[in-house]
Amino acid sequence: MKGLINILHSDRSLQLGVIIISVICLFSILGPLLSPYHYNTQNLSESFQRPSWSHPLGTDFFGRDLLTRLMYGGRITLTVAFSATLFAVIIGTIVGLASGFIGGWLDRILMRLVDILLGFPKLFVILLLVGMGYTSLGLVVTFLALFSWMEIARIVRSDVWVAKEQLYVKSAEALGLRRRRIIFRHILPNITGPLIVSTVLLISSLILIESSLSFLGLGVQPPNASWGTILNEGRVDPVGAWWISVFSGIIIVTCVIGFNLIGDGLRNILDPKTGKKT
Amino acid sequence: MQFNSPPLLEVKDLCISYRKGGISSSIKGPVCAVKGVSFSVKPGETYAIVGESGSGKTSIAMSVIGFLRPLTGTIFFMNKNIWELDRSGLRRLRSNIQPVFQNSGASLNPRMSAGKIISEAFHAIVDEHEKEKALIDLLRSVGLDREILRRFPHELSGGQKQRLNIARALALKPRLIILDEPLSSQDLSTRAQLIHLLSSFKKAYLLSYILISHNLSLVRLISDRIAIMKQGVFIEEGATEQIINNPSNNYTKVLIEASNIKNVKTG
Amino acid sequence: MVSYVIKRIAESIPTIIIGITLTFLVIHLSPGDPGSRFMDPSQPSEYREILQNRFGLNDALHIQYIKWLKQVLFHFDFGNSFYNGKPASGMVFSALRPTMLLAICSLIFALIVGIFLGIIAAVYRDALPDRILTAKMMFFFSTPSFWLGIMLLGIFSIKLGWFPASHLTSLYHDQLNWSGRFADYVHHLILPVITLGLPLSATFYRYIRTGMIEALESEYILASRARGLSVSKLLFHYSLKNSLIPLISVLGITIPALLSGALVVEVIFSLPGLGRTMVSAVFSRDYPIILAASTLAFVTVIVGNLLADVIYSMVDPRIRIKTQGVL
Ligand SMILES: Nc1ncnc2c1ncn2[C@@H]1O[C@H](COP(=O)(O)OP(=O)(O)OP(=O)(O)O)[C@@H](O)[C@H]1O
Ligand SMILES: [Mg+2]
Repeated sequence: MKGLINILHSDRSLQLGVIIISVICLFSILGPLLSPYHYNTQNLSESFQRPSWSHPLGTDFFGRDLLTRLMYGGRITLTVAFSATLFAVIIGTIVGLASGFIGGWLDRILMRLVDILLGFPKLFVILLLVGMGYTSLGLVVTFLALFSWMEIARIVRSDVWVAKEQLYVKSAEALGLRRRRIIFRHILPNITGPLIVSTVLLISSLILIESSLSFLGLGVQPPNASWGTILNEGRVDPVGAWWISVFSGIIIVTCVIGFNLIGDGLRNILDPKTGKKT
Repeated sequence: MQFNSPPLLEVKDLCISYRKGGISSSIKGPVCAVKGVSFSVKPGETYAIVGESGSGKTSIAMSVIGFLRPLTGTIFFMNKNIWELDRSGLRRLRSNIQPVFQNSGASLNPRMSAGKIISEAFHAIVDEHEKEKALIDLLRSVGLDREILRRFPHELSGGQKQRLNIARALALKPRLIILDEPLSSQDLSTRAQLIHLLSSFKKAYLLSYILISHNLSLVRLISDRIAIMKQGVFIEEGATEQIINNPSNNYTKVLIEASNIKNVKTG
Repeated sequence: MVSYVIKRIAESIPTIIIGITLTFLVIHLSPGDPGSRFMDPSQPSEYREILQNRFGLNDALHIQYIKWLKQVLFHFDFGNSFYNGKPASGMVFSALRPTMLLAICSLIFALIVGIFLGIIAAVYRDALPDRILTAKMMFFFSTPSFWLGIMLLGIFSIKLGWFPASHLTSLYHDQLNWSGRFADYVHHLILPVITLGLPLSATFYRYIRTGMIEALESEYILASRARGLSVSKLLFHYSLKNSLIPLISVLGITIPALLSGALVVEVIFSLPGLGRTMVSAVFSRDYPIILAASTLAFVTVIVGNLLADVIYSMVDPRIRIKTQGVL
């Protein structure tokens, strides 16, 4: 715990990022419980109201409180981003480990696959999949993960290449330990640093991709709403009902900045060479 | 010593080259680190390989433990050609041949405590109680305190790290230990202790050693036979006394002079 | 070099084939069929059969696939749009032009902004200009282009009316002389290019800033400085050249992202590009258009990557040696 606090204190951007993300998480988790409104109850008599005391961020076309919707949307956005990241990291780590540790033809095939997938314009492909009727939340998460694990796999693979040649790994191998044990006890713990950094950065890029999809009307579908869905609703009238697009955009940007700050901060701590000197 | 028994390790015409992919390969072609080396090690024997830096000593060691595939040549250990074994066969053979690498610090996983590192070597023992007992015995025999088990490698001294490496190598009760410059980073008193330690184990467990060093004066104290290596080839090989007293090669003479053995002998 | 390019083209063919095959499968295996979209529910169900037959959707899947692939490979024919009956390849190709225009202009914009600001930040490292720029760029790096687009559209097109809110050209575009046409393009493209380019410039900025800082601190620059070479010459001749190299290598990764970004921007600014064509085709299940558009997107990305790699190997001699060794 004390070590954690020390790490936090060692880098300003990490500190700021953690604060931003904690606030947003609290806002999304606790917010809907405290709000007097329900995210999806329509009240057409209060359609398109400007920000006021009773609706601090205004209302949308259906008279739903924007603040409550954003808090609720945060849950969806973060859940989608976190779970897609989790899957992507699991896939990427397994592929990277297999590729780096086993090598040979397996490595060649897997890296070819990575190249092919990296060459796909992500949004086109996911758009196609979702547009063809695979719209459930679980499937959106799956598609996002399936097209995001490649960077992780590359990073893990190249780190494994380095780690594999370390003498402590050779020593473990010489003891006749099983492969699985060598991978999970000796290699994986020593490559977690870069892995954590890219995981955090992946969360932020997945928030952006999910928002783009929902913004196009092809991501999270009503009655569910992510921040991107809400922003899409604001597109109808970006000037007359400016508060919808402005506030939903601000929260997306803030959240992404938060994760990027954490990623940068962690990178600075782990690899002081590329970052600013302190 | 069982000098008449069949050899434990037999290396024939070993050639090792580094063919790293990419830039260097296309320009220079393969780098031959070891060229046509043959030798054998008998049970209970200490075989020393002495040579200058870059002469190919570590490369031989890496091939013998199965980490560096030789270009040509054969390596028989306990009558098995180790480079023709499959993965599980090699793994089973591994407990009989243990390395202590040149860089003692880098051979210890920085994220594992000394205790974890050592107990991992006892992976064959399932019974926790028995494991604990073996561990304590082993620690005592290499002269390490129990207290260091909680520490991480960066919290150990160079000598302690080296002892830990030696302890790990001994844990599996191997037939052969390859020691790559085990003493070069130690101060004089530690060296003496470690040499004593190694000789005592040799007697207790009927171990063979391959001792790699660039320092002839240290090696002669514990080795039965010595090979002198230069630029990838063995230029001279023989019993320790014969090499020291009757070197036939000029380079060996230079080495002997450089290491002041004559001084030690006379004064 | 020529053999390298040939090898890369040969390598990219499986990528394209896999890509379009997957696209084909996704489209044809997905729930729902285009027939029912066109059909008035009150009409008899034989009518649906007729429609399906007309679109060739009643054959077995592999037969459809082989037929389609043959047409694509040998006649460059992706079939006709289910909606207006025009050849899909033609429709998609005419949509490619606005997309390329948007993407290339944005790339140039992003490069200029990113490199320029990156140099300034590196020169004034850790001083006020660097801190302000780095914070600003963090903002743009994290800003989704769709939000930036909506904000720009709302403020500058709808509220202030300075720029058009849609289309690539004015109605009277064809009646203008060439300078007028150019101005017309610029007028329509400014907002979309900023929308797509600004977030991208943040990426380039990061690379240039780190690269320049590293280069400026390298021993070889310090040594040249000691020899009395002028600072500006050092800056542009040595440091910038060295820090541009990693930038070119990111260019390859940027291209798929650029195309994805263009898709969103085209939707916001109603530009008749590839992305918008794709989105409306997906919504209306116009299979030939979807397939043609995705194929074209794959090919564009691959060609772009190839170009980036070729430029990279021309700039960095180390890579050239490596590729010679491989071949
Ligand atoms: N991984 C490698 N890639 C390419 N060449 C290597 C590699 N490792 C060693 N070499 C080369 O092989 C030759 C022999 O190296 P080796 O490490 O076996 O020498 P050594 O006798 O152990 O030297 P030292 O006493 O310094 O440890 C050297 O010329 C070295 O440059
Ligand atoms: Mg060595």
